[in-house]
Amino acid sequence: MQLVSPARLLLVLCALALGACAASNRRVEDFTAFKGGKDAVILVLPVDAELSELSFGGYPTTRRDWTLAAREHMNAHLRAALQKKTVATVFDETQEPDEGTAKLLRLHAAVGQSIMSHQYEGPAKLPTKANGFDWTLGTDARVLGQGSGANYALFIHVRDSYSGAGRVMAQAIAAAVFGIPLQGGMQTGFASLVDLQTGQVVWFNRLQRGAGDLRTHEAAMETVEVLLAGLPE
Amino acid sequence: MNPTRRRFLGGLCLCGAGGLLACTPTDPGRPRLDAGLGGQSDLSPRNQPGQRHGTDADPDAGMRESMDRMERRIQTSRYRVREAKVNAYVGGIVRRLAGEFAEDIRTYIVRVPDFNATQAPNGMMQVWTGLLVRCTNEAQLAAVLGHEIGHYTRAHSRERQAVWRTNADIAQALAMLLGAAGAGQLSDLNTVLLTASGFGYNRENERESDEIGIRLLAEHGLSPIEAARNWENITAEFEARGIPRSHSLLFSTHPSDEERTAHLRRRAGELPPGETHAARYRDGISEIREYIFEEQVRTGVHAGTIVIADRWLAVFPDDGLALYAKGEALRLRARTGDDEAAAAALDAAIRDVHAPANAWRGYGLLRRKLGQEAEARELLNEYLRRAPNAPDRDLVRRSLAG
Amino acid sequence: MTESIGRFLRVLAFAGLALAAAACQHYAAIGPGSYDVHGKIAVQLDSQWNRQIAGPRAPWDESWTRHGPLLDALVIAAGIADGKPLIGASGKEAEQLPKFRAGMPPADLVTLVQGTLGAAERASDFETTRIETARIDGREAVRFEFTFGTGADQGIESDRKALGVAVEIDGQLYLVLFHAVETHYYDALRPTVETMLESVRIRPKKT
Repeated sequence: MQLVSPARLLLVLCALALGACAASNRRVEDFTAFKGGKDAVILVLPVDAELSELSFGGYPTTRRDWTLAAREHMNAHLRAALQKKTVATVFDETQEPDEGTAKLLRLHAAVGQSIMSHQYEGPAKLPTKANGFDWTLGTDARVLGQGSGANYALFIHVRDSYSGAGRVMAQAIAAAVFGIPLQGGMQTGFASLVDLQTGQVVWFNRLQRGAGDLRTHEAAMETVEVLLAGLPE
Repeated sequence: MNPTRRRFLGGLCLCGAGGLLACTPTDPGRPRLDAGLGGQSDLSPRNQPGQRHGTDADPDAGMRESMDRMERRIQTSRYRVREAKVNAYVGGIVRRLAGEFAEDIRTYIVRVPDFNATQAPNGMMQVWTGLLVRCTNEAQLAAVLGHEIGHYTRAHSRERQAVWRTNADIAQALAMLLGAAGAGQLSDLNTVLLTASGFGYNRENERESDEIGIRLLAEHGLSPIEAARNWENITAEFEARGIPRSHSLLFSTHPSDEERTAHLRRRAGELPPGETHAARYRDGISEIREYIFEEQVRTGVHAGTIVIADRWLAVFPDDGLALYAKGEALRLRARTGDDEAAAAALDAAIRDVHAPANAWRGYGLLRRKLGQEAEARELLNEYLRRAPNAPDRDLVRRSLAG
Repeated sequence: MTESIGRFLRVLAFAGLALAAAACQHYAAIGPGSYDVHGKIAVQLDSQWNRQIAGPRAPWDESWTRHGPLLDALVIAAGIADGKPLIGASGKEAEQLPKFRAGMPPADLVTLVQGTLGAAERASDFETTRIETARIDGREAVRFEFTFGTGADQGIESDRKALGVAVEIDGQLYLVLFHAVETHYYDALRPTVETMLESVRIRPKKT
C-alpha cells in the first residue's frame, strides 16, 4: 500500500492534544544516580518493537517487514548513541533465556507497565509515587548481567503505527468536512535503564507522540534520540 | 467475573466455556439447528505446509512474527507443562492429525483450568489443562485438536483479519456518510457496526473447523460422535453451574452449543464409527492427572468439578482421582446431603491406587465434622504418613495430639 | 490465538477500559497511622499505602497497593457471613464464587481464598506452602502462604507469592491477604505487612 507522507502532518496535529497533557508535569524524577561514563557497561536487551499500518477505518495490521527493519535500525542507533556516552553490549537473543532470566524479563514488563500507569499524572496515579521515582527489580537483577560484564540494562518497548493511504484519506475527510482530528499513527513506549547491582530503575523516559518514523534507517535515528533524551552523558 | 471474558479477546479458540457475551441478555430465539458444513464442503488447506513464516507479502506476516515472540515467552512460562510423557502424547496426536502440517504446529500444554485450546497463525497451539480434565478419551481431545488444526490449515486468522479490517473501513465510511456526528459518536458507531458484522464470519470459521475436526477423527479411526459429546458435556456442566448459555445471534463468535451438538451428531452418523481410546487417554495424561483434578477442585466451582468427575466415573468407576475430586468438591460445597455423598465418594477414593494424599485429609476432616473422631484420626494419620511434608502437617498433627 | 483481530478488539476494549479507569480507578493515600475498616477492623500502618477507592479490584472490602496491583496487593475481607463469598458480587456472579462456611477447617479456608483469587484475578497454578496457627488480636487465627501465577492467557505474566491471615469470630470471617511478585516485592514488603498484621484489632459486630 502506498503511504502518503503529508499524513504525518495531520498525525502531529491530532497528537498534539495528547502530547500536551502527556508532556506536562513530568519531572518529579531524580535521575542523578546514574552517572554514565566508561564505567557504565550497558546491556541492551532485545528491542521490543512492533509496527503496524492503519486502514481507512483505523484497523491496525502488524507489518513484519517494518517491525524487523525497525528493530535493526534501532539496535544500530542505540549502540552508536550509547557508545558515545558509555559502553554498550548487546543481549544474546539467540539463546533461550534460562528460568531466572525469563522471570526477570517478566518482572521488568510488569514494572515498566506499572511505571507507565502509576507514576505519571492520570487517573491511576499512586499517591506513594507522588514525591519521587522509586521503582526497582530488586537485587536479583544481577542475574541479567551475568556473563556479559554489564552493570546496567536498557529496556526499550515501542508500539508504532502509521496511517496507510486509506487512513490518510479518512483523516483528510474528517478534518475538511467535520473539522475533527481523526486518530492516525502513534508512537508509544518507553526506555528504562536498570542498575544491575541494586535493581533500581535509574532512568526512565516515555514516548507518546504522533510523530517519528522507525521504518527507515535515517529516520529511526530521531526516535532513538527522543527515547534516549536526558540519559546522562 | 465471567470466567472467559478475556478469552474472547484472544482470537481463534474453541471458547467452550462461555465467551464474552454469554451474559448478553438478548436471545433472538432458537438458532438454526441444521446450520453447518457437510461432507461435500471443500475445506482444502489455504496454508502451505512448511510455511511457518510465509513471506512479508502475506497479510498475516506481522501477526505470525508477533506470535513467534509470544511463543518464546511461553517456552519459559511457569504455566507450561513440561512433563515429557503427556507432551509426547498430546503432541503426538496433533502431529498425526495434522499430517503434512505436522512440522508446522507446535503444541504447548498450559496450566489454566478452563475448557479451551487456541491456535495461533504461526503454528503455536495451546492446550489448557482445563480441557484435558474435561475430556475422558482420546477421541474427545482429538476432536478439539483437529478443530484447532482446521483453524491453522484454513488460515482463519488471516481471513478474519481481512474481514474485520473491511468492516472497520465500512463502518468508518458509514459514520462519515451519516454526517455531522461528533468524533465520539463516530467511534461509537464504528464499534457497534464492526462488532456485529465480524461475529457472523467467526461463526462460519468455527463451523469449518468443526467439520475439519470431525473428518480428522473419522480418517484416523477415532469415534466422530465424541466431537458432539464435547458440546453435550460442556452444556451439562454449565447447566449444573446454573449458567444459562444464552445465545446472541448477532454478537456471538461461536455457534450455539445446541446447534453444534445437533450438527456434529448428524455428521457423525454419516461417518464411519471409530475407537474412543479411553484407557490410552488416561494413561497418556497420567503424569498430570493429579494436578489437573486438584487444580479443578481449587477453582472452587464445585458444581462444575462434580460434573467433570462424574463424567470420568462413568468410564472408570473406581478412579481414585475422580472419586477424590467429586468427594472433595461435595465436601467443600457442603449443601444439604453433600456430606453423605462426599463420604461415599471419598471412602471409595481411598481404596484406589490413584487416590492422592489429600483424599485422606478430606475424608478425615469430613469424618471429624460428622463427629466420628476415631475414624477421623485414623484417616488424618494416614494423610500425614502419605504427605509428610504437607503444608498443613503441623496443624493436623496438633489436632491429633489434642 | 492473540492476533491482530484480538489486538484490535483489545484496542477497542482498552479504549473503553481506559475511559472506565479514568472514571473510576482511583487511589487515595492511607497511613502512616491508624486505619479503620468499616468499624470492623482497626490497624496501624508504619508507612503509606495506596487505597483503591474504586476500580476493577474493588470487590474486596479493602484493596491496597504500594507499587501498583501488577506488583503487589493487600486485600481485606471483614466480617464475611456464613454462606457468602469473600468478595462483593451480585446475583449470577456471586453464585459462581466459592462461599465461606462457618467452622471451615484451615486447609479449606486456603482453598476458598485460592478459588476466589482464581475467579477475581484470573490467578491459577496455586501451590500451598504453609498452613499454621497464629494469634491475631489475642485470638487463634490461621496463617498461610502459597505461590501462584497471574496473566497466563493474556497480559503480563507474573509469578506471585501470598501471605494470608484469617480469623473466624462468631461465625464470621476476617481475612487479610497480601500478595506480590515473588522476585523482590514479596520480601521487600513483608516486614511492613507483618507489622500491620500484629496491629490488627478486630471489633466483631454483636449479633
